Amino acid sequence: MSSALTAAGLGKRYGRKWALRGCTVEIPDGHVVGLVGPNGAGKSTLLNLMVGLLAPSEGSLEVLGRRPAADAEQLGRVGFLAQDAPVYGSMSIADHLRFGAHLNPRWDAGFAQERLDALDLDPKQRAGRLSGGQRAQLALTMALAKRPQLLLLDEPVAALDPLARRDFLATLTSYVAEHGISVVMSSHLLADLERVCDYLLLVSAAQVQLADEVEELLAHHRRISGPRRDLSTLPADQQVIWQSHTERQTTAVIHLEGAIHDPAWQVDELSLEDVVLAYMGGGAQAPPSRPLLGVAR
Amino acid sequence: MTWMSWRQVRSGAFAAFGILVAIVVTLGFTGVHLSNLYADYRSCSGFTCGSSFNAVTRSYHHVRWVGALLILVPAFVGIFWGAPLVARELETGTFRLAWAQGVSRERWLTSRLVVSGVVSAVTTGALTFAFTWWAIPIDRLQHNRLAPSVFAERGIVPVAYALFAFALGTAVGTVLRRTMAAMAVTLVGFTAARVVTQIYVRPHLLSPLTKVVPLNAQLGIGIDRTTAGLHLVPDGTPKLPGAWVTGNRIVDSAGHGPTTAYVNHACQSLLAHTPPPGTGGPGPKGRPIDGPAFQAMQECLNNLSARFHEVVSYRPASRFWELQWLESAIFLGAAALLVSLSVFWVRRRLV
Repeated sequence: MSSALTAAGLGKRYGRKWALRGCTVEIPDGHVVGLVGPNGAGKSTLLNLMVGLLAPSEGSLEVLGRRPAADAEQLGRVGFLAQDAPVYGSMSIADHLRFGAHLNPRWDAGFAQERLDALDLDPKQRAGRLSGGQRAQLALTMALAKRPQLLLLDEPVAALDPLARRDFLATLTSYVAEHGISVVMSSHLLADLERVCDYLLLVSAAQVQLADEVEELLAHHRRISGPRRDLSTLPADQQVIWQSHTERQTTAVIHLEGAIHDPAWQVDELSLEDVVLAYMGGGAQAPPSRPLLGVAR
Repeated sequence: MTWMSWRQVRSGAFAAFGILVAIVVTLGFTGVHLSNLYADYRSCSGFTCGSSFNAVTRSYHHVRWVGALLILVPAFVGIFWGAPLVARELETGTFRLAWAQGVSRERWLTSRLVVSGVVSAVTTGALTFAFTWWAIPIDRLQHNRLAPSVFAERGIVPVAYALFAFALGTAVGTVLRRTMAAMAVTLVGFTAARVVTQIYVRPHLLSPLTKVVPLNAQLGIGIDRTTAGLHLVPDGTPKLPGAWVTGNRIVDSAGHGPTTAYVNHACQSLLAHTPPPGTGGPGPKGRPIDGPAFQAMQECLNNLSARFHEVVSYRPASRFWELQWLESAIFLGAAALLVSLSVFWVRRRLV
C-alpha cells in the first residue's frame, strides 16, 4: 500500500529554532488525517514542507511517494489550502477559476462551476470583498477542482463562523467520500476533527507525539482511576500517558495493548479529545526517554 | 500561466498605455509641425535663417519635458512593476496559492518576468522611439546627441535602463520580501547605477579621438586676467559638430602647459591693455574687447601659437549608435544577472 506521507528524521529550522525535529512517521493512503497540536507546535511547518513551500533542514520527506514539489506533475497531485486562505484581492472569483484552469492540467471546470452555483457566489465579485467563509470556500474550490490525490488544509475553519464551518466540512466530507482522496487537515477544533477524521497526527513541542488511526487510538487508550498508588507497578503492556494524584485517589490515562484485569481500577473509555489532551498535557512532565507511541505502524 | 501573468500586470499596463497614447499623439502633432519648421530652415536664406533656426530649437519647450519623463520612466518601471512582482506575493501570502498550483515556481517566475518585462520594454521603447523621432530636427541643429543628458533620452538606452530597473526591482523585492522597502532600494540602486555609468563608465566605452588645433585658429581661446597676469582658458566647444568633448588642454610639443610668466611675456601688449581685476577695465571676462586690445589679443595668440597648441579629446557624432549599443549591453547584462539571482532565490532560498 502506498503512503500519503513518509518522513524520516524530518526537521525544519528557522535560524536557531527548530520548528519541527526528528519527525519520523508514515501515514497510509486514503485517510482523512487530523493534524493537531498546540500553537507553534509545527503543524503549519509540516504542511508547508509537504506541499514544497518549505524545504527540510534535515531528514527526508516523501509525499505520495515523491519529493514535494519535485515537478509540475507532483504539484498537480497535491492540493493545498494555506492558512487564512490567501486569494488575490483585486481579482474576481472567475479570474481565480481561470487561474486554476490555466495552471492545472487536470482542472475540472464543471466541478468548479457547480460549486460556485451551490455556494451562490457571483463570479464577477472581487475576491477581496468576500467574507472569510466565502474566501475559504473559494480556496477550497480551487484546491479540489485541480483533482488532487492528496489535499492539505492548514487551519481551514479557524476563521469561520459555525454555519460556514459546517458548510465547509460538509463540502469536504462529501468530496472525500466520492473521490476517496487523502486529506491532511490541521485544526484546533477537536470536535470537528472527530467528526471528519479517521486518523490522528499529534505534533507538540516540534515533535510527532502520536500518529494512528482514530479507531486504534480509542481502542488502546483508557482512563483508569482508583485508590492512590504508584503507577510503576502497572503491567508492561500499559504505559502511562498522563497521571494525576490526589491524597487518596490516582487518575491516569494509559496506553494499553490488552485488557485491564486489576479490579481496583475503574476503567473509562475516552473520546478523541480526551486522548489528545492527555498527550498535550503530559508532554511537559514526561521523561524524555518515554517512547513515542503508534509511530510508523 | 501567460494569461495569469498578464492578468496581474494588466491594470498597470492599461494605465501606462493610456498615458503613452496621449503622449505619442501629442508628439505626433507637434512633431509634424516641428519638421515643417525644420524644412523652412533648410530653405532659408539670408536674414530669415536666424529666426528659422530659433523656431526649430526654441519651440515646444513644454513638449521637451517628455525627455525628462524618459529619464524617470525606467525608475517607475523598476519601482511599480519590478519591486512588487515577487515581494507582494510574499507579503500577502498569495505565493502559497500560486506556488501550490500545477506549475513549478521557476516557470511561474519566468512567465511573470517575461510578460511584465515585455510590457516594460514596449512602453519604454514606444515612448523613446516617438521622442527620438520628434527630436530629429532639434538634434540636427543642436548637434548634441552625445551630450550626457541628451544621450539618455534617445535611441535604445532607455529600454535597457527600464529592463535593468525591472530586473533590479524584482531581485530586491525577492530578497527583501517587502514591497515598500524594495521600491525605495530600487530607486536608490537604479539612480546610483545610472550616475556611476554616466560619469565613470561611459567615458571609457569608446577610445577617444584627439584633434590638434592651432591657438590662432579663431576658436575662441579665453584669456583670463588675474592679479598674477594672464593665463589661457581652453576653448570649451571646438568646432566638432555633435562630438562629445571629454578633454581639452593647451600644451607644447613636450606636453607641458604655458606658465603665467611665459604668457605674460608673450602677451606684453595685451597685459598693458587689460588692467588687473577689480579695477573695472575691459577684459576677456568683461565687455568684449575691441580696437587696440583686440589687436593685442591677436598678436598674443600668434606669439603663443609658435610653441603651443590646443589638444581636444572627443568622441565623434558618428559613434552615437555604437555607444548606445555598448551602454545598452552593459545594462542588459546586469539585468540578466539580476534575473538569474531572482530565479535562484525563488528556487533555493525562499523555502
